[in-house]
Parts: sequence; C-alpha cells; structure tokens
Amino acid sequence: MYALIALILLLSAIWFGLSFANRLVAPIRRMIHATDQVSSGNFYVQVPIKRSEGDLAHLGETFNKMTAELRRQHDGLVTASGVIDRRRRFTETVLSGVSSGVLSLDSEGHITIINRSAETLLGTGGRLLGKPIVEIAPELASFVAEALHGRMRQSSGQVVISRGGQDRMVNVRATREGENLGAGLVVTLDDITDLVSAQRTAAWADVARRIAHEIKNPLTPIQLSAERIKRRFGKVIVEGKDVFDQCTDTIVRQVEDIRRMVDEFSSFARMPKPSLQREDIVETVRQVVFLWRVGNPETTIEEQLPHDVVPARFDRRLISQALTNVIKNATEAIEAVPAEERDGQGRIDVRFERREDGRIVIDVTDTGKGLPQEQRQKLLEPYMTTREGGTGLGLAIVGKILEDHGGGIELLDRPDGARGARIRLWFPETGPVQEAEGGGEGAGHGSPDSGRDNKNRTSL
Amino acid sequence: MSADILVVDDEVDIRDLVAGLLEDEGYRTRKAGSADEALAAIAARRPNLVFLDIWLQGSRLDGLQVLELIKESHPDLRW
Repeated sequence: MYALIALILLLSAIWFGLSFANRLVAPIRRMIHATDQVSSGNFYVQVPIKRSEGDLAHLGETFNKMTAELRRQHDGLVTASGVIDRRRRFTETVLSGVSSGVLSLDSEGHITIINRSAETLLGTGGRLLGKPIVEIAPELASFVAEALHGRMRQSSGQVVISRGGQDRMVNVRATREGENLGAGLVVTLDDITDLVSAQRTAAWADVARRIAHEIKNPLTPIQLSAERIKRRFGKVIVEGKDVFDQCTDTIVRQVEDIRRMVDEFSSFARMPKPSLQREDIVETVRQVVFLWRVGNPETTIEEQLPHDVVPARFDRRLISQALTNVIKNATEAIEAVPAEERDGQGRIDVRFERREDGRIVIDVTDTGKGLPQEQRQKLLEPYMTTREGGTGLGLAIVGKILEDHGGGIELLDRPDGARGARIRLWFPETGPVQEAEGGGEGAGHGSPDSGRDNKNRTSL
Repeated sequence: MSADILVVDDEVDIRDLVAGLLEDEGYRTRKAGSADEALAAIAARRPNLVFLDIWLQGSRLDGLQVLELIKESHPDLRW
C-alpha cells in the first residue's frame, strides 16, 4: 500500500520536475532558434516576451533590441551603398561627357582613372589604365613631378602634344589631392589649339587690313608718275628708248603686282559672309575645273564627278574661289618639283563624294612636292607659305571659306604613298548650322573675327 | 582746247600728277586740296570738269558731301 503511494509520489515528482525544467529551458530554446534565424540573414525575427520568465524575459528584450539595431544598420549600409553607386555612375557620366581630359594619378604617377577626352588627346592606342604617365605622355612629366613633390601642390602651364602628326596646344593643370605625401594627382587637359589659332588669325586680319590701306595710298602716285613719264617723253626719246620703255613698264607692272597682293590681303581681312543658295555643287565643281583647264592647258587635270545633280546650300562664288585656290596650289606644288625628279607632266585629280551623313567632300590630289610632315597645320595660318613669292594667304582663305560653310579643310598625304598631296574640302550639304543675320555669326564653327569685322569695317 | 578743269585731292602728289597729265594733253587746270578750297574755286569761276576725290581726308567735308553741295548750287552740272 505505502509502496504504491510512494511510486505515485515519485512519478508526480518526476513529472513536475521535468515540466519545470521544460518551462525553464523553453525561452532559451526559443532564443537559440531566433539566433539561428538572425545568423542566416533574417533580421526581422523577434523573441516573444513573457513577463513571468523574469531574467530570461529581460534577456529576450535585449535580444530583440539587438536584432532591431542590426536591422537598422544593415538597411543603412544598403542605402549608403546605393548612393555611392549612383554617385559613381554620375561622376563617370560627367567625366565621359566633359570635353577636357581628366586623369587621376596615384602617388607614383600611374594612371588610375582616365576619361575619354584624355584618351583621345594622349592616346597611342591600347589600354592606358595603370600605365605610368611619363610613358604615355612624357610632355606632362614636369607638371606631374612638380605637383607631386613641389611645395605648391599645383602645377599648370601650356604644352604642345603631338600625336598622329597633329600638334595640339594643351593647357595642363595638375593638382595634388591632399596634404600628405602619399596623395595622388588630378590632371586636367584643355585643348586650346583652335582658340590660339583663331586668335592669331584675328590679330593678323587686323594687321592685314591696316597695312593694306597704308600701302595702297602711295601706289597711285607711283603709277601716275610712271604713266606721265611715258606719255610725256615716250614720243621724244630717241636714244635708249628700249631702256626707257623697259623701266617705265617695270614700274607699272610691279605696281600692279603690289596692288593685286594688297587686294588679296584686303579680301582676307574683310572676308565676306557667304550668301547661301541652294545649288548644284557638282555643276560648280565642274565649272571650276573646266575654267582651270581652259586657262592652264599645260596642266593635266582630271575630274571624277557624279552624273546627277547634288543639291547643297553654299555660296557658289566663295566655294569656286576656294576650289580654284586649292587647284592653283596643286599646280604650284607640281611646278616646285625639280625637273630631275619629275616623271611625266604632273597630274591633278579632283574627286567628288557626297557621304551618307550628308557631307560634301571634294578631294584635290596632286603629284607635286607634297606637304611637310611636321607642323603641317601651320600652313593653314595666314602668312605661312613654303613657296617663293607666295603670299601665304591662299590656304588660310580657303580654310576660312569652308569654315564659314560649317565645314573645313584637311591636309593629307596621297593615299597611295607617292609624292604629292591631297587637299580635302568638306562641308555639310545643309550649310552652316546658324544663319547669318546681318552681322551675326556665319558658321557653326563661329569665326571669332567675324564679329570684329563687322564693327571695324572700313572700305578700302 | 582751253577747257578749265579743277582737280580736287588732299594729296599733293596726286593733285600735281593728275593736273600735269591733263596739261600735257593741253588742258588748263586748277588745283584744290580741300573741300573749302574746291568750293571757293568753283564759286570764283565755274570749271568745265571737276576731278573730285571721294575721301578728301583731313577736310571739313568729305568728297561725297562736297559733291552734294555742288549739285545743290549748280543743278545743271552733269556728274
């Protein structure tokens, strides 16, 4: 009897003990389960709090606070990372769109970032990232060294960068990023070639205008004097009449030459705005070649023109003048070839092409003495001539005419590598971008001296 | 022929040369170096022909203005 009661008591004691233990362990087990979930990335898990559990309840609250904090920080990091990403993309877009070349160099002078404009300016092809700047662009070495090691942390100046036969004048600025010696550099490159050239052209145009005016004045009295001498004494001279005639004729002829040169200078300085009409450009080219052939039967000139009409917006007189100038140049280049080196008569080819992008391209190729390899672009500047007796204005005038039409001129070598040159004239068939309106800009390129011209016009 | 030609130009060389050329051909000439001289010469005696420089630098009136004045005071003159 007592054994049974003892057994029941024992069993109930065990049962109570187990359930008590269970109740003690349950919250801990719940917390373990929750911890597993957090460790696998779920930050939203919370542990239920039962007041009755005392210390364990406190532990549960703390646990919940911890996970909430973890969640907050995690979300914060994700947002920040998104912001950084967007900012980086923005910076990349800005850098790729900006016309200046931008480079970032580390403290050893290796390229860490380089934008497209810088690649174009410095590029020799191939990957530039990671290469030392002194290898890619030795012209920048002194600026880099000064910015990296100098006291001022900055170095700027102008330098000429030659790539692929072209010389570009570049404004360089190198800035060290921070105070410490381990900091890298940011280098910006601005191509100011066109600005410098335009400035020079504008300055020369002014000078040309003034000199032209001054020179023309004494020409009239000189010519009149010579003519008067001829009239007055030409009939009465008996002895030495041939000397007399020769001298007076020389005076008159030379004065004519000077006057012609001065007129050419004037027309450069006072270059008229194109009066644009819609015309057949092929017909214009054909006429120029025809007239040249008629006037210069000793040169061989061939043209390759399409049979159909190609309409375009241009000034017929100016384009004819430009093309005639270029053909004249070609002829003179051929004549400049010394007789021993000449094989045959010399030949000029005029080729016409209307490109898909609407560009009109006219190539004049000759078998003359060719173009210089170095500093070729200088030929387009006024007063630059490699020819004896040349005024040096021909190509500058041609360049300006084409620019006023929204196009340009290119000085190329013959594609077949033989001696000679190819001058390429091009402009868009729609004409220059902006309409000239009585004194405004005449071309998309915006000739900087055209504004000046209109203010300072004096008739000559 | 003893026609009377007036040569108007601010530059003495040109004045002398043009007048000289005309005299070689047998014409009589007078010279004027400025707008006022020209107008005075025309008022004193009407010339048969006037060579008039358009610019007349340094003169009170330029050549074109002188021309206008002459046309006003001598409407029968051909020009």
